[in-house]
Amino acid sequence: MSQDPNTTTPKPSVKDGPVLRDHVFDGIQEFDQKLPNWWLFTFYIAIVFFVGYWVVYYSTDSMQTPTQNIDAKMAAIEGKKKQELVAMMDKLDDTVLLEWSTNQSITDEGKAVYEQYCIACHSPGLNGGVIGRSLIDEHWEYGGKPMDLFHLVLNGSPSDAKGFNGQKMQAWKDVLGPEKSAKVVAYVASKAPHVDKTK
Amino acid sequence: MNTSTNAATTTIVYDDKTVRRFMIASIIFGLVGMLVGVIAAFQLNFWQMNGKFLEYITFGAFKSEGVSFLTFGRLRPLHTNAAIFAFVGNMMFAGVYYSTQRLCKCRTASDFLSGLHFWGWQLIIVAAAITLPAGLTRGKEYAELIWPINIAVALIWVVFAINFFWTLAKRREPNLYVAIWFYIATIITVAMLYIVNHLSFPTSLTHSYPVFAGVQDALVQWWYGHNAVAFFLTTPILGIMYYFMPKAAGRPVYSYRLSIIHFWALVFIYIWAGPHHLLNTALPNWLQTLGMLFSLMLWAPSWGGMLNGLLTLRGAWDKLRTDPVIKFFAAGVTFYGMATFEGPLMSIKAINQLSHYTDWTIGHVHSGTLGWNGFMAAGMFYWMAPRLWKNNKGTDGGSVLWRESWANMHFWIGTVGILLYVASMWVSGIMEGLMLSATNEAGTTLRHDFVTVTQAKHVMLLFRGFGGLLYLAGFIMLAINIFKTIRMSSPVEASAEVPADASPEQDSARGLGLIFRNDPVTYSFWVIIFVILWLFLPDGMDIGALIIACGLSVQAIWIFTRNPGRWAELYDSLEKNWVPFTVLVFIAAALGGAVQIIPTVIAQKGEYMDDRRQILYTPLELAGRDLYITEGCYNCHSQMIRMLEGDILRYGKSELTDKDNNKLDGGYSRIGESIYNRPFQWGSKRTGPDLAREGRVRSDVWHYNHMVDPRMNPGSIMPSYHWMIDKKTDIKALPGKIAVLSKLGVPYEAMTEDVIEDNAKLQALGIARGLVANEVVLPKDLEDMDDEAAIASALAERQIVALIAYLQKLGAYENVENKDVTAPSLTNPDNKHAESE
Repeated sequence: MSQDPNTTTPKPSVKDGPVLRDHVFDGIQEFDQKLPNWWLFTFYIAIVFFVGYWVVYYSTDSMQTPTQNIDAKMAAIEGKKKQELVAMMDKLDDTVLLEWSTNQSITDEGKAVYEQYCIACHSPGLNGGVIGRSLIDEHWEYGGKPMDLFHLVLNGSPSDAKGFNGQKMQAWKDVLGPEKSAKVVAYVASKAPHVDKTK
Repeated sequence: MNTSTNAATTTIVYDDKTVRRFMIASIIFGLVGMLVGVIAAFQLNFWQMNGKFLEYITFGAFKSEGVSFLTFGRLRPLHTNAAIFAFVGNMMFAGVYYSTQRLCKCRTASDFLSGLHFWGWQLIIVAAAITLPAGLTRGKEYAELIWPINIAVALIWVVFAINFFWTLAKRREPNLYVAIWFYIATIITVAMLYIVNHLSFPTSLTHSYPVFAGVQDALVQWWYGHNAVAFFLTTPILGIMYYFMPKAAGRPVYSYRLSIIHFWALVFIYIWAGPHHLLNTALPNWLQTLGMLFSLMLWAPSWGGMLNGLLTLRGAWDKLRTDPVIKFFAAGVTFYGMATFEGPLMSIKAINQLSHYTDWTIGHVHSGTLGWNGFMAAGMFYWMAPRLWKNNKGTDGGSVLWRESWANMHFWIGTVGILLYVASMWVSGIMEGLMLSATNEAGTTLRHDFVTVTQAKHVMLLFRGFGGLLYLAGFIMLAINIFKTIRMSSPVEASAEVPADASPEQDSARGLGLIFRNDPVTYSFWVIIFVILWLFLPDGMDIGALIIACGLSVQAIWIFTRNPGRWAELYDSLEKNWVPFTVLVFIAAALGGAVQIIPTVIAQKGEYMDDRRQILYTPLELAGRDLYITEGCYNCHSQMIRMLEGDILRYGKSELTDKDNNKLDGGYSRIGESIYNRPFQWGSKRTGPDLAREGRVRSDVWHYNHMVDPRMNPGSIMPSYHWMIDKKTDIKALPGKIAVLSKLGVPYEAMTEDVIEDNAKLQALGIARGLVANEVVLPKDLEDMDDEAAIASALAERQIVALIAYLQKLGAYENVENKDVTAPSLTNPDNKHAESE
């Protein structure tokens, strides 16, 4: 393409052939190729989609708003949570939890939960620390029966409690759910020597 | 055309000294920026990289758990600013100064302004490199620099603009080449974006609050942030591509008409896409919808640039094997195509649910910056070096690089580096997104806690860091190669023979009339006006506006097809008149932002909030918030619970109570909950968990211990902020800050300076007493005191106390009961949707 910049290029006679424009900028020339059809179509489709989407959303009301959408989803989740809790409560009492505490497969699952969520405050040896109480001493601030512990894990320290060193345990209901909460209690019961085993 | 038959010619000498300076500065700051990037990358693998590593490499002579100015929160802004403004900025200026003179056939208008531009810009970079690690920041991404530096940037940018447009005015070439169009778009739009997003009110020499708050600030920030990518990292580089690629390939540009279409489409559409950074958040839905749909429309215009670049290589593909310059350009343009395909994809709301706040975004950005910006820069530097410094050591007597083989090696190392980087971030980001939203089968509880996900990414992040290291190694090869080339050559000023009679038919005074008497402009204008009316007008009327817009489009197409030559002539005369051209570019670029920002600024204010409204920070909490920003916490922690189940399950629960002592509902974040925040802190990446409802979830003691030793949460990669228990809070600054906030419209009650300070001290004392009573590990200088009250009052002055006060306030809002005022309904298209709240 050694085009002399000072002569104008005659337009090619072939209709669809590449047209070389007659401007030359510092030796740079430009073809004037047609726009590729597939490229044009992607552009057109995106524009049509814009118009269509907006019309369908704002002029037909056939789509939910994001608010309606998420509110419905969360309501469904809340419903399921309640069901799960009710189902677990029906199943669970002190006896069951104590049985679970002797079931190796359940306490293993509980141990995994404990190690993930509980050791930061109650320490790996269950002997507590600055933030969480010891779980292996004789003192149970909020009751030492397995079901007391279960409720404590679900709901956290009572709202009127003073807490330990001014710190209160958070409610784990939403994080762990009833099943994991029960299993972690089973694990604690298997390890803590002073869990109240009276019926 | 100018003809050489005209005997009267004159010789002009181009100003290549400025180009050389900018090129060297770009390489030096490129090295710095990439090195900081590699360090920051490894900080996410090893928390010790936040300063503790100094203990290891000095064999314990230097003792520290972490150094404040080396933490990720402060280095990451340094990395982004260095890479964008120092590396790409200087590279862009080198390319613009080199090509504009040659495309205009005249020397840059003013050597003085060129020098001022160069030294001013380098001073700004040095100022940034000092202030950012020092924690002086505005707390907005890529807009962190403090207000005095903002003013300097604006002034130097104006110097650049004057120098550039003055050169255009003096040019000897009647038509403006497509590269120049892109430079014009860059200069005009960056000025607009930068000024609007940096509007702020100073409270001291180093601190200011933005004039926009909450959702307004979020929208303005991402209008800026997104379009900084568009007009700082894309359009100038496209201009550079249009000049250097045909030069290097020795081939004509593929299609002039594609240049026109994709240029105007890019300039107009890009601006609208900013809200795609805020999908599924509290941003009004109509803005999110515009952001998504315009991002999809942006795909084709972006690929227009890629096509024009790659297809220019037709007939020169053989050079790909031999010429490293062509290798870099071809790969750079390919990465541009990849990133601009991935961008629209990630802007689809459903995909963004997964990708947002994860490493995927980081990978996406780096395929653009490393692949497109970095490789185009390398190609341009390798091409320019032997032309700016002559050595005549080539086989044909021409000038050559010191080692072409090194340039080839750089290409391969760099490419492998990028691919490792991007691929590991895809894996990491997608895994992270999936893990964070994974639930049990019933969908009622989450499967993984946050630290588990952090730990799961460890290997991928190592690969990322390694990829970055390879890329840096390649760039070091470039630096050595260019340095050696300079050493064996001598700088030359290129010159050109041009006709003595300057300024042919161009820039006529009547040129401005082109804006009004110009069919394509008129039709585009009215179509856009009616499209905007369609967006905002109430039900029924909106469809009317849409029909008119469609009718006008059809009419325009009909007029065009009847006589296409007429429109080509009009465009040709526009190309010869830089003033109307520039005016039209400004209008095209300003429209999208105006349509989104103006209604939001009018409608989204505290007094209009109809469900929830943020409770104002107490003076101490405000001080804590400013410390949160100083430490760059927003670089890792978001404060925005999106309208997604995973987000709500993980972060939605509130432990705060309302005035009747009932727990707040929590859930996803509402607009009103951050409506007074200056700057907004919604964040863009969750390297740590979201903090929108952090208030009262954990105790003061927990926060105290955790800030000193984050490893109390096993597996955490957060740096230690132990200096916050030593440094004092600047209580004296609070009255001034609150005065500025009141002036900006935050409804603080009138308080005297003493009241503000006493209030802060009293609140701090309360927190400090609690900490002391619970026997936290005290700062060294307080260890020996034994009077508890004295310890508490000393501890109360420390930064940690203010920060804790702020963290415990996060998520505090009141339910708005009876709303007295409503925003004008036309400002919010969402009002059109039936049953909208």
